Amino acid sequence: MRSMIPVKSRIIDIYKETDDIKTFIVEKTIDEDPVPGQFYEIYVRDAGEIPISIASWNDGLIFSVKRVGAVTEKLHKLVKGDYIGLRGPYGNGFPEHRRFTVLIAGGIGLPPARSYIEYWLSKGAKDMQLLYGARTPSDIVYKKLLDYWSNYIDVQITVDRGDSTWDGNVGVVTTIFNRIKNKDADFLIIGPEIMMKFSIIELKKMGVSDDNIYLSMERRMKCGFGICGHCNIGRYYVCKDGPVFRYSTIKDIPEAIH
Amino acid sequence: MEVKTVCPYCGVGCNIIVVSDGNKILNIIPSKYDAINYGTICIKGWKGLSFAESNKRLKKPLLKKGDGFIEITWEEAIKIAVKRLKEIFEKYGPDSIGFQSSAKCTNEDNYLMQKLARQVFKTNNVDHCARSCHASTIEGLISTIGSGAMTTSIRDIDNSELYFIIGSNTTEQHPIIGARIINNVLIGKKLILADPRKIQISNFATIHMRQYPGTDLALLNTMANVIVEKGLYDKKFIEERTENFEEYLKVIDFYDVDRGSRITGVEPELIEKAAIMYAKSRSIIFYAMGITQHTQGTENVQAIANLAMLTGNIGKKGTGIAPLRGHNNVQGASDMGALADFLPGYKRVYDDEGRKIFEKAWNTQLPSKPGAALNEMFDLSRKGKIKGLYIMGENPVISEPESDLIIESFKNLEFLIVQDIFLTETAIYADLVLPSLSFAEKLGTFTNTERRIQMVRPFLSPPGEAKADWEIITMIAREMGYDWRYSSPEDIMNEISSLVPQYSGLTYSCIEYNGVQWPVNGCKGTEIMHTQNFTRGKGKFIPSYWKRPDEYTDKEYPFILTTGRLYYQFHTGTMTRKSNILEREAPEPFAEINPDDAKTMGIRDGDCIKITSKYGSVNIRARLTDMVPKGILFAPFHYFESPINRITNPKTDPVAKIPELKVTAVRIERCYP
Amino acid sequence: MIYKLKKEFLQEYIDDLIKNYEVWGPKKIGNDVIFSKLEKGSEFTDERTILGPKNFIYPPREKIGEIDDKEVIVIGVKSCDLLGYRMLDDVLGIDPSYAERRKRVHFLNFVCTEPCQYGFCTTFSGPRLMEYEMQFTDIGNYYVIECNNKNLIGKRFEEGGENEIKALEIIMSDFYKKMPPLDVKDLDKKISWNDPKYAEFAKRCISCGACNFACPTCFCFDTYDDNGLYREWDSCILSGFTRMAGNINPRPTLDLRLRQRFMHKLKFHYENFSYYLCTGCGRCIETCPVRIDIRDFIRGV
Ligand SMILES: Cc1cc2nc3c(=O)[nH]c(=O)nc-3n(C[C@H](O)[C@H](O)[C@H](O)COP(=O)(O)OP(=O)(O)OC[C@H]3O[C@@H](n4cnc5c(N)ncnc54)[C@H](O)[C@@H]3O)c2cc1C
Ligand code: SF4
Ligand code: SF4
Ligand code: FES
Repeated sequence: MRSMIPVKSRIIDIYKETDDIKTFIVEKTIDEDPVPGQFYEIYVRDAGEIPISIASWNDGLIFSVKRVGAVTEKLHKLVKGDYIGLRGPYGNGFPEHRRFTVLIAGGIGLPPARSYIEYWLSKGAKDMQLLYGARTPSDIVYKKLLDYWSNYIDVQITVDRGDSTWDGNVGVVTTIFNRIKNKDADFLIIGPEIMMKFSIIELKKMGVSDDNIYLSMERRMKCGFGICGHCNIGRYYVCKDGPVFRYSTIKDIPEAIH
Repeated sequence: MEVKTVCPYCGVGCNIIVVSDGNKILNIIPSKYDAINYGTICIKGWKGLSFAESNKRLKKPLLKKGDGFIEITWEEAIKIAVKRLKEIFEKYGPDSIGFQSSAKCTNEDNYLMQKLARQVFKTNNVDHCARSCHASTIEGLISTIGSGAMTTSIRDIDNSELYFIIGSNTTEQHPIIGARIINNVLIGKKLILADPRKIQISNFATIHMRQYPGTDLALLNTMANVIVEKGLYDKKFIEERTENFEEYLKVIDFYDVDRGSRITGVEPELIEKAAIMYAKSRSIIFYAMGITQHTQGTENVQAIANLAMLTGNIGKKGTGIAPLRGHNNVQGASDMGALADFLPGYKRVYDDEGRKIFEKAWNTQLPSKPGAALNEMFDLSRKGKIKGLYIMGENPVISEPESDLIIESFKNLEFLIVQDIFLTETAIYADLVLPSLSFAEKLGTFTNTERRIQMVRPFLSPPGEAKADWEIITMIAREMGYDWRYSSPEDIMNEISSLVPQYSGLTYSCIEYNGVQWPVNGCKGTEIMHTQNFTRGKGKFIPSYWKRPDEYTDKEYPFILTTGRLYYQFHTGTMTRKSNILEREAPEPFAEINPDDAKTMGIRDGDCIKITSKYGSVNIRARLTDMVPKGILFAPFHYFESPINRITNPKTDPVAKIPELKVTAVRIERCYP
Repeated sequence: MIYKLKKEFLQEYIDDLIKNYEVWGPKKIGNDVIFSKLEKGSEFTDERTILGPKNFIYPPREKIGEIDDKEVIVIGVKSCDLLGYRMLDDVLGIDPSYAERRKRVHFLNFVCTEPCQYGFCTTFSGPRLMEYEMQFTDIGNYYVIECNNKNLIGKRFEEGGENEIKALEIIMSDFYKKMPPLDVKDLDKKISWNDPKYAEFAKRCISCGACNFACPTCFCFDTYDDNGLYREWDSCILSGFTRMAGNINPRPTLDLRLRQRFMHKLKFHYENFSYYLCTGCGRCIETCPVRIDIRDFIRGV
């Protein structure tokens, strides 16, 4: 949808995931179906517009949003039945599933990973692995889904700081890279750039080629379809040529991963 | 429709052309007018005008009801205002009401505001924010050279060989003047900078002296000492044009380089080099709040005038003294006598001759006792002496020191009127809020930092029922029974130009396209002042000894806090914070701290720190930067979220009554929001 | 088609246009020349304005979804501006509201016959354009008019031919002599991520954004809410342009942002569209308070 005019859409339901993350189910008022890894621009009245990845969709569109600033703050205050504005879907999305795929997700990177896992699980693909890092056990989102997925694919979770309830791995996500099942795979990394940076270093050590590493990049965005000029990394616009890039495509651009 | 008008932000007064359809701005174009901005403007000119189109503008008069407001008609509003003011006036006498005028408003608005105070309410309790920025300039320059304004012009910058900037972050606060200086330095001219912070223009400084805050007077005296020592002073100029030189010599004799260096923390060689360079070149001194906002503000300004006279660097092409005015019209508001101690044209209220002119023109007796200064009005209302306050276009809750006390003082008032374009942090305390017009909707004149009187023209239609300030004031005066007959700002200017010598004979037709600099004679202006004689006749050296700032560091308060403004925000942010891009660029308050200090205290960039002074404390985010030297914190005062003026030093310069906002002793600790 | 028009009839032509359209053109306001709505042909001057008329197709600030539907003629636009708008079309053209507005604005451009102070348009294709609705060139007593829009032909237009084209060519070759093109061959490959000029410019840049706002090719905008969504021109020189939540900023310092401006124009856009995002209008030089000069930069690469 290449237009700056949002389409009105009702919030059908809201779930609280963690202290600062909520999941919103909204009416799908735009016909076009998204593909995993794409995003929408969500407009919140009296606040503004922000890019949010699609986490899942069927009747409605599902988004999970972390409260970090002005717009997300306002969005978190909305209740069931309120309206938001929608534009999208935008971006290229993840590459097609073609062989064993390792998803490395940090923090609020899990919702886009979810769109991939759900989509390909529904198509019968089970050759996937999820490595998920959260700050603390109480920052873990989609707890039930994670359990459910582990019936089909390998799910590994780590936290930066543990607590009394936690008996899993403690450490940043790269500390569980030794559990990667298949190095001859596609690697999708979704999370903060600092996590990408260290993940890439480790993957390189494991002999993974730049072509097989995909990054879901984040930049300030205002339009979503390549006209506002905000999100470029060199010649590429993250909103339109991304957000998912092959590492080999952008690795020589100095401001890509800084 | 396209109008040539003036940027409403800083004192540079850039000319812009605005194209509009009456309801929205279609384009903003910098004027090529070479006297000021030669086709350039800063980000505030490009992006700062959208506040006028904001949907949050005040559109109707509001009356306090319970905790909120109700909309009322203008008729009701004026009736209520006059009824309550009259009651207070009759019950407690003339000096029970205070009037706060505004450097954001036009000359015409300001002239009427002080006239309302003086003619109608018989009080000199009228003042405006020049009190907290350049009152010391007025006192300091009038006492030495006879006129409290920039002696030269912006265009004249091109004629100088050297620029001496002290206490002004020129590229951030007066960007287009800063740029003009940089352009000249790029072609080989020299720049001396005296500023504790490593500000942007320091990139171009031939010499950068980083003096301790509050030691400017010592620095200036030491430079004078060097100049005398080396025989570089202009004997002929001093003999012919000045007086009191002997006294001056006595005082500066005390400030040998070593002593000066000990006090200021600047290496002796730097002071020496700077002094020699300044004396040997055709030089202009630029200064701003770093000089004026001190308990010795007036003396600081006098020391600058002394230095200029000592070297003959005044009254000639490419020389002079340039106080850089913060607001677009702080010069004009002062010219118009929106000051507790001056009538229009800088006639002292206690000067019988001066008063007579206005008594005759206004057909009344005028009070001869100076009124309450801006910050005194709040004290007086806390003490129960001032019962009514009429604030036009000011937001003291954010801009003035110890703002908690100001809010407290409002509670003592029987009636508070706030006339503004937005419901400001101050307006929420008002009993009556009057919606006024911004520069975008009204006609009038602004006088910029180089004394240039320029036309301001409307290009948008008024939001809702909002009215021009001059119109509102006129309605009040008429309701009070005074036969004011102004049907347009031009009528007011005609009265001004018949009474104020600096504006003598000025008409709107003189300044249709380009402004003129006062003193004017008809349409003829003055680019450089004091060329033959000083305005006061002979220039007078007025020396002073440096005193330790009112506050200094000790065990309990080991840091010095200094405050200021940011490039993207303006004053209390009433306008800039409603302009999307400007607010985006500087959305939240912070305090700059030197990385070394931060390290010893375990503070990281972005951490919350609590700054505490004798007056209170605020929480604010730390920003680590070597822009500030060790031992010093800098924080902007624009933000209601961390109102830094809640904790600044309210002590004032005894003459000019300007608060020492630049030096407050504080301590810091980490906080966890 | 080629026409010619006696110069004395230009006013009358504009008067005729005014009868049928809303016509805007350069007009003197004091010392300044700006695009304003013409009431009569005699107000028109073909002098250069400080800003081009970009705002007609791309307003500095607008409510999203709100466009007016009037048809406007803008006469007297300089070729360097018009060429810039062709470049805007390549980016903004997919936005329906831009496309809608673009259709309603007719630009009639005037070809410069004397170089201006800061321009270097010969570097990028020169003042005579290949794409236009109607292009005027002053050849002395006449304007030569190259016309692609029959609806706008004036009653005094005379058919032109070989002679007029000859005249144009002579004027242009003369113009190129007076304004020799800069060497921009392989600029996209030669330009460096680490040019020391970025830091040098950053020392004096006061972040006014003029180089973006004055540029006929700059298209970036920001959006925000003020009781409805608005969009306004943005500037890549500002740090908020790329700042994300949590103060994460891929371009935290001014030198990096200046690098973005130069590299976007001279490399990234070239890689995507095979032309430089600059028309040599020189407006960014003229409106820069500290005279940062893109010509110096290009020469230095
Ligand atoms: C492709 C993409 C997908 C995303 N998916 C999700 C998601 O599924 N869940 C989630 O919680 N967050 C997601 N984000 C991040 C989210 O967009 C930001 O957290 C959000 O914009 C912050 O807005 P704010 O107004 O609360 O913060 P503020 O800091 O107040 O931001 C103000 C404005 O800056 C812009 N902005 C700030 N941060 C970002 C950012 N990180 N990315 C883009 N624009 C920004 C926005 O335009 C915003 O309106 C995604 C970002 C991108 C680029
Ligand atoms: S320098 Fe001052 S007057 Fe000029 S545009 Fe900037 S804020 Fe306005
Ligand atoms: S970059 Fe400068 S010279 Fe080039 S088109 Fe833009 S404003 Fe003109
Ligand atoms: S978000 Fe506008 S260009 Fe990418």
